[in-house]
Amino acid sequence: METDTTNSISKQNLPVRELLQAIDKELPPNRKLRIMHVCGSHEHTVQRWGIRGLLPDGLEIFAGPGCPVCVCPVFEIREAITLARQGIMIATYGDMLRVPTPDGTLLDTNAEGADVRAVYGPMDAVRLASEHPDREVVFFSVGFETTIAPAAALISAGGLPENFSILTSHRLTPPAMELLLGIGDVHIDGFIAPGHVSVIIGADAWGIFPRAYQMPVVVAGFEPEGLLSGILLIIRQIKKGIARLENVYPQVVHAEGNPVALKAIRSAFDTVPAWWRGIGRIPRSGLVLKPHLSGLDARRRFGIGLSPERNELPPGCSCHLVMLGKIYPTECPLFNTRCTPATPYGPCMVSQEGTCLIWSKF
Amino acid sequence: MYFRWIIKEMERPEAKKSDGIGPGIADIRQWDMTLLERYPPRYHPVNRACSLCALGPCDLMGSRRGACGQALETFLSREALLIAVTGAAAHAAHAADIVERLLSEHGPDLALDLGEWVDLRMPIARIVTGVKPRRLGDLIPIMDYINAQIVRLLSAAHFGGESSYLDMESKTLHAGTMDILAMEIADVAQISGCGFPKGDPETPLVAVGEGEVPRHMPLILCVGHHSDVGRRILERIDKEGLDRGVVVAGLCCTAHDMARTKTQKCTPRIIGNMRDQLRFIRSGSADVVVVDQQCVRIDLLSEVLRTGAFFIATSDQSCAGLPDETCRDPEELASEIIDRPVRAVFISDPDRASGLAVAIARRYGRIAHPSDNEEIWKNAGPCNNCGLCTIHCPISLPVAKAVFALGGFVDGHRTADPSLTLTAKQTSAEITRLCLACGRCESACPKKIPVMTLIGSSNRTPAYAASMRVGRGPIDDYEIKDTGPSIVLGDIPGVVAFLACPEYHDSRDSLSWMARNLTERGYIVLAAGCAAMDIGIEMPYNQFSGIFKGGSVINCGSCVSSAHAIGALIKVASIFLHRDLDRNYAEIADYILNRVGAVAVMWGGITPKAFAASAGANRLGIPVIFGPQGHKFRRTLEGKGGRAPLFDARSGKPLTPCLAPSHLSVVSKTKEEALVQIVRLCIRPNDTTWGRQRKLRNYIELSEKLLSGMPDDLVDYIRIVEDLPEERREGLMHMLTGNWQPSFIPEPTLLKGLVRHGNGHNKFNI
Repeated sequence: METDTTNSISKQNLPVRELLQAIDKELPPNRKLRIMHVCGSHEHTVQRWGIRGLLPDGLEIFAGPGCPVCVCPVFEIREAITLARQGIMIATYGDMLRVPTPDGTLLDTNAEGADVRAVYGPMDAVRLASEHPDREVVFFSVGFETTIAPAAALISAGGLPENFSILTSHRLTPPAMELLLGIGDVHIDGFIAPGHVSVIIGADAWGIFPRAYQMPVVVAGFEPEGLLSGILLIIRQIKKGIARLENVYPQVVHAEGNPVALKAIRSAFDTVPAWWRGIGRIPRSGLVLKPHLSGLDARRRFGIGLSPERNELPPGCSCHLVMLGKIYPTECPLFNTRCTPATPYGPCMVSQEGTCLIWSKF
Repeated sequence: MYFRWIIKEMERPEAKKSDGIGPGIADIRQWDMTLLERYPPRYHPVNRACSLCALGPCDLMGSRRGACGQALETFLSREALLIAVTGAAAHAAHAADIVERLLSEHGPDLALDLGEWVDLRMPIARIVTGVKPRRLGDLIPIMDYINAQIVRLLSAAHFGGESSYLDMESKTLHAGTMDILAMEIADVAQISGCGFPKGDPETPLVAVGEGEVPRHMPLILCVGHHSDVGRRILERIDKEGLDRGVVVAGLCCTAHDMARTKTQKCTPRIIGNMRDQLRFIRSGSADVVVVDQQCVRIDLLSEVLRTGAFFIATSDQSCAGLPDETCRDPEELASEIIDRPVRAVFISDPDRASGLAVAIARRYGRIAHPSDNEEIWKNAGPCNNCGLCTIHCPISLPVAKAVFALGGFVDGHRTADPSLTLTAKQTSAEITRLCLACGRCESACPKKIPVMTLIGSSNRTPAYAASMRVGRGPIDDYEIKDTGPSIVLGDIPGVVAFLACPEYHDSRDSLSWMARNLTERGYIVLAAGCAAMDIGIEMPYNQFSGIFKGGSVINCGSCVSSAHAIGALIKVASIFLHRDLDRNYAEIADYILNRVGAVAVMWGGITPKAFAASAGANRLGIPVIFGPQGHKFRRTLEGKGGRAPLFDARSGKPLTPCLAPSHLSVVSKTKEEALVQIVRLCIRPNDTTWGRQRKLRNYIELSEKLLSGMPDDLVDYIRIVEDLPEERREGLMHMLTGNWQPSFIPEPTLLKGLVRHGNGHNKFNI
């Protein structure tokens, strides 16, 4: 499917006020539309700029599973904790350090005497490995397509230190969106596709949704104008009774994505079914290192491989419902009471991309 | 405990208030009518003359009407209702017996405990009645409700009762609902009260078949459906340390449930299922036969007595014409029963009955006698090869040929040597493999030759040997969470439940053949009842995972454990999808029908219970495939090419034609046809393109391999080009010409009320 980037919106650069007026004007009467985005950064934009309050009645924008830290299953964090307790240096993104598990957090493990470091990306982890040739260094690589690409590029480049390995916990976004449509229990009238993921996988990767599900999809950036443009285009599609893929972020998102990154990802990873915390096992939604890279795979190198937990979320936690777009954070009885940014109870209150944390901040 | 919380939320008292236990006969009628519009009844008359009242028989051929005014289809639907109610009553009585006995043993406060990971304990009870039973006493009002419904359903079949055949069908479906509800109650009660496995996927393996039974020790054989007496016999033998001196075995579902009993020393042997009753009894291996209720041959008493064995009837539903000697002391009774002309008693107290069985076995040891070759030769002598036995065989086996050969006839002349000829051995072995052991050949024989005995005795090689996992009971909530997404998305192409009786028209290993083909293609195979034993013939359970996931083979347990197979599908809709359960029957059924690729197979289903269970499954949106005898239940429910309105819940657009699933109950003539039908009926409208590809790949490959050709309705299942299996897409593109138009993957529903029209209907339907 060809991505439509010829729409007038992306060229006109309409200001927020005009976009809101257009949305108000073009919103079909007597209908309640619900548009889902699947990106923590979009939720950040929505909350930070108060967009939800500016939208007219009859239009809702809500968050889906767009936070990789939130969906990282407990058993994979426990694997990292286990390795850290064995004296292995763990390097991972800062958000991961505070995600609660029944064994505590990675930060707690660090406080116990293990060596857990926050890094900005895989290159930092490699640097740590080079600086500590006498230590095993494991990069706990978490994230969606955006963070998969740097890890894959690193692997493709080769020349990694011998004491460096990777503990993968990567997830792919489109299968989760397909699941949401498949289960049919969430009212969705259109998708705002995440701009940065689309930079890697290309706008065309979302083509299955309008084509097979008649679900309008617009790839949008993270400024209010971009997001509102996306919403407006979805409304127009619904009004016309059509479903297609549009891109209002053509500055950086191309139809075919980043071929170099995609090639690196394909050469380094295999697609497998994967657990999403609180949601379950989603087919074809995870990546593991290819067999020929087993030397880099921390699970194989150190012989760990924990099974999925039966208790993925702590008692009373509604993060799974928040991630599926079934409730807003304020509908969780623990929100900002038992669960706060300072003392997070569920994973959505930890990550900067987590819906609960964003709602708590703004 | 995240799950706990979810379930507790679902179980919150204010979730749904009910005005007493329901629903009544007509309360789910609207869903029934919707279902029947999409899958209208197709009748298969066995008899076109009604004799249900004294004015009959009334010939109802063509447009004729009976004395009461009924037309043929009303009559046939009435017959179907009577069959279903009989089946439901049987399971209800069974459940009532279990609950009653456990109440007297443990009291009403016994917790209904199905294991640590089964919080959603009784999904069928939840969606039907809205009741959330937590203890044994909570089951009593549900049993009362079932009994009241069965009485009302029966009254509708009376002269001057229901006049509309569609309403009669609705009542048949209601009877089915009562049936599966009763099954759920029965199994949940016995799992909680008898210490049966609680959702354990790695239950022990047990051997099935008479070849496993030691012949030098007395054998107590328990036959039927209610394992209470059998369980007590096992416990008594354990307690008395007789495990090395007495063998305990079971037939049919009693055997299933005895194997689920935890004992220290005495392990029960599973002889087989209903199909083995006559043959095993006549082999003279059983010395004490203890009979409870249901699925017991009517002539079992006389058959047992002919072998010199003892017979103990234990259920008031099957007294066998024997005097009630419940008050007698078991030891005293055991000492005198040997001298009676009829070595049989009726003891209604399970404890005393078990005491008597053990006392007899201990006192008399091996006493039953099998036939020998000399007798075979003599008994078969009068055979003149008239062929009546073959004609009366329900599955047309060459019985006459075997009997003639057993008589020592070679090329038309009788040999002097009484040892069995090669032909006799070969033929009798083949018949033993296929025989239903119904005994109709004997009653047809003008020379009164004991055909069954001859064939059974001549073939000492165990006809039946299988390995089976002990029934695990429910599928746990965590497994559903793990697997639910894959089922709904079509990555696991389907859940196939093999249920019901073992009276197949073809060879006994047909179930394992189907199951193996399905597991190889990633389907989840569930089994319960007699079918669960036969699946193990050629595919031992230990070769497959017992966890609920693609490619697994799971034995839920006895006949009543079928409720767990059905319950697992309800759990998919509730645990993973957060659908409300309580008295939310139509929405859950609509969900299963349109989104959960599941099929039940009742290949040898012959009893009213099987039909009732099929009706219960149908009403929940689970298609059922019967073997060739299935049409004798009078009706099937077959779709007519998208005649009924299926909607897209997002847009409200009607989806026509949409054939998935194309039938709700259907008969297949061969196992090959059934296998193709299974994969076809697992297709659902909301499959992802990936899932649909996988399902169509199976459909195409199996059709080509087994039915010699491409399925002629393939194009009806192709919504967009990506639905075609990738590797064959290019070659199949020519099909997508002419009238084919691309459509889309809908959010399918038969319920207009679920169409959103953009009003956010199920926004927070948690």
